[in-house]
Amino acid sequence: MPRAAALLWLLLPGLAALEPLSVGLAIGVASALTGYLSHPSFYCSYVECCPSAGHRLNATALKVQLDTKLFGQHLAKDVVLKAVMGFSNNPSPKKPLTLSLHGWAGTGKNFLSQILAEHVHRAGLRSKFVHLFLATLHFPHHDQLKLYKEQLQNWIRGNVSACPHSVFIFDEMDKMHPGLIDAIKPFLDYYEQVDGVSYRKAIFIFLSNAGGDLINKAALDFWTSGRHREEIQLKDLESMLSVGIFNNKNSGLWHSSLIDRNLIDYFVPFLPLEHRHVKMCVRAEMRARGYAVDENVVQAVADEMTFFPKEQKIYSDKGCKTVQAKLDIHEDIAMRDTKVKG
Amino acid sequence: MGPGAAAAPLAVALLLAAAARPAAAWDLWALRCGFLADCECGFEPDLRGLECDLAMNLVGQPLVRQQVMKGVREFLENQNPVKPLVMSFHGSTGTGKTYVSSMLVRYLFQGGLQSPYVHQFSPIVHFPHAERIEQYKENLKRWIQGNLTNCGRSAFLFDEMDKMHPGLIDVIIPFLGSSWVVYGTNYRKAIFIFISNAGGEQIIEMTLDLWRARRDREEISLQDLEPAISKAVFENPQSGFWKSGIINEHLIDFVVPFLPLKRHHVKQCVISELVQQCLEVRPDVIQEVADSIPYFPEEEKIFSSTGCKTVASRISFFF
Repeated sequence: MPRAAALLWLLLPGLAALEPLSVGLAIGVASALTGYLSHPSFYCSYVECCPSAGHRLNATALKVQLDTKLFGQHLAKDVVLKAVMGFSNNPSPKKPLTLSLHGWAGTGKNFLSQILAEHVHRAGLRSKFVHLFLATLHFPHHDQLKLYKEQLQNWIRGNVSACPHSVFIFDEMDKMHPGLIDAIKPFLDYYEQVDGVSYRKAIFIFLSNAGGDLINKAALDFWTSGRHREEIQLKDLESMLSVGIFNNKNSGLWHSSLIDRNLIDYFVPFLPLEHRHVKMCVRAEMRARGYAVDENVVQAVADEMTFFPKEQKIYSDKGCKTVQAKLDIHEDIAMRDTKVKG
Repeated sequence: MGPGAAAAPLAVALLLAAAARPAAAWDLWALRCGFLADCECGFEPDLRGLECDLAMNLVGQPLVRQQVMKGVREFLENQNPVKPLVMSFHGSTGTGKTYVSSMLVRYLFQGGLQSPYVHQFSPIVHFPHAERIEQYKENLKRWIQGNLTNCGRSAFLFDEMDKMHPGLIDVIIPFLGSSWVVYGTNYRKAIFIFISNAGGEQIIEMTLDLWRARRDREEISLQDLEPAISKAVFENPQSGFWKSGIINEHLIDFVVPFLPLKRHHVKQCVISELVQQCLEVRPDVIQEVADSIPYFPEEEKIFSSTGCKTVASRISFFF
């Protein structure tokens, strides 16, 4: 206290210099500068901001990315592009966009959800408005179901109030306890608001392997009847898929009210990948690593993958998974060969 | 320094006065509601607008229009109602129950669902844990009592009654009847709306019988439907109304059944959605969307399984 008094006494002569004009000017300049710096158009180039209400996704960019990066999934590309663009262009959607991606392992579900997240928020999965939930990591113990339900509701409520355009991705839905996902049913429904928060601009994506066997069977039937893969339509798979998932105890959506109340906008099936698609994956991986595309290596890696069914050997067992590891081995062998020769 | 020294306290005084004015005004305005008995707190009924909107936008529900308009009109005409208006919406998914309830609230209260005098309860969000039912009962009773004391014209919407724990809703029975007295306000001006899927199968059965007998949807009789719905709801152990006093004591004034929707109703939904999104109304889009929806029963395939629910998202796929 005495120190403050002493400081004030020291400053007292300086107070004579304070006159209204210069003080007013200083305050004016300071407020103008603060106003400019705190305006979203300035600081949003440095810090990540929630997209404004009028923000629309770039359809051509998304289409190009899907065409060049996702192989062999004509249905998924079509559905996701139309669904996401329709949702983005709608000025007042009636409910949040809810997609359920189903398919065998390695067919590109996580990859597609990453591409989607990057188009909505530039930082993709690293964005603070994109939330990824892994059933085995975030909801491991089945006896703590009530706690998980409450925490999930609070997390979603809090994040959607902060940014209405949040993206929530639920991975490994087939490992999730059935009944857990019902806790978020009111957020996915056609309500204007729930407790003062509107969820209509959010996006929910569910990824699971459930229903993969049904899709594979349908794809195989198409192949054996001599029809082209590209002839498979959504209506051939959708109703069978939704009924199958509803009745499958291990799908996470077993007897779920999400399906019952038709809250899932689209069931997106991922078809199993053929030999040529695996080769496309290998080529893309080689290009990404900066190597020249060597067809011998591509053929060798693709031949090493296992295929099903046993007799016809059409579809890859693991999709495009383990391609990178196999490529590592082949590149290693190729480098050793060149060293030996040279 | 001279004019500056005089200006400083004047500026401060002006600032304080400016800040005090809205605060004082808000206080007096709030006090007004406490003293006057017929305070309406944001209640601005627009019955003509409601009737018009229902006629234009609600497809395939003749009974709903009739019952809702009758109920609301009778209730509002009476300056001193005997008991609060209690309506119960029943029907299968996608038939328009939430839509009509939000429309009703929008035409009665300023600000619609955002009005502070409209309260919406969903059991999954507000009453999730079965073991805390006693606490929920206490909280619910206090919440309703407090809000009715604050404003007699409040509206309470209870959604997903079929997911509510049986026995929980009985705590509000006193507020629905004509015998409770809450000091200082006329609680009988409140509006209670219950929404549930229970009774949906009975409604579907009756509508199907009517269709098979080649009769018009408008000929469906409320006298036949109402007891069937009440019975189904009362005896279903999963329903929130299981063995509830609300049904027993006939506290529900209007049971509003929502009939399942046919193909041409779905097409109307598509058209109104296209118009609302400012998109071109193309007949091929309407046809494709209507075809992509599953219908039941298996042989006749007349009623849409999802009502009008998935129409909005399908449009983006086929457009």
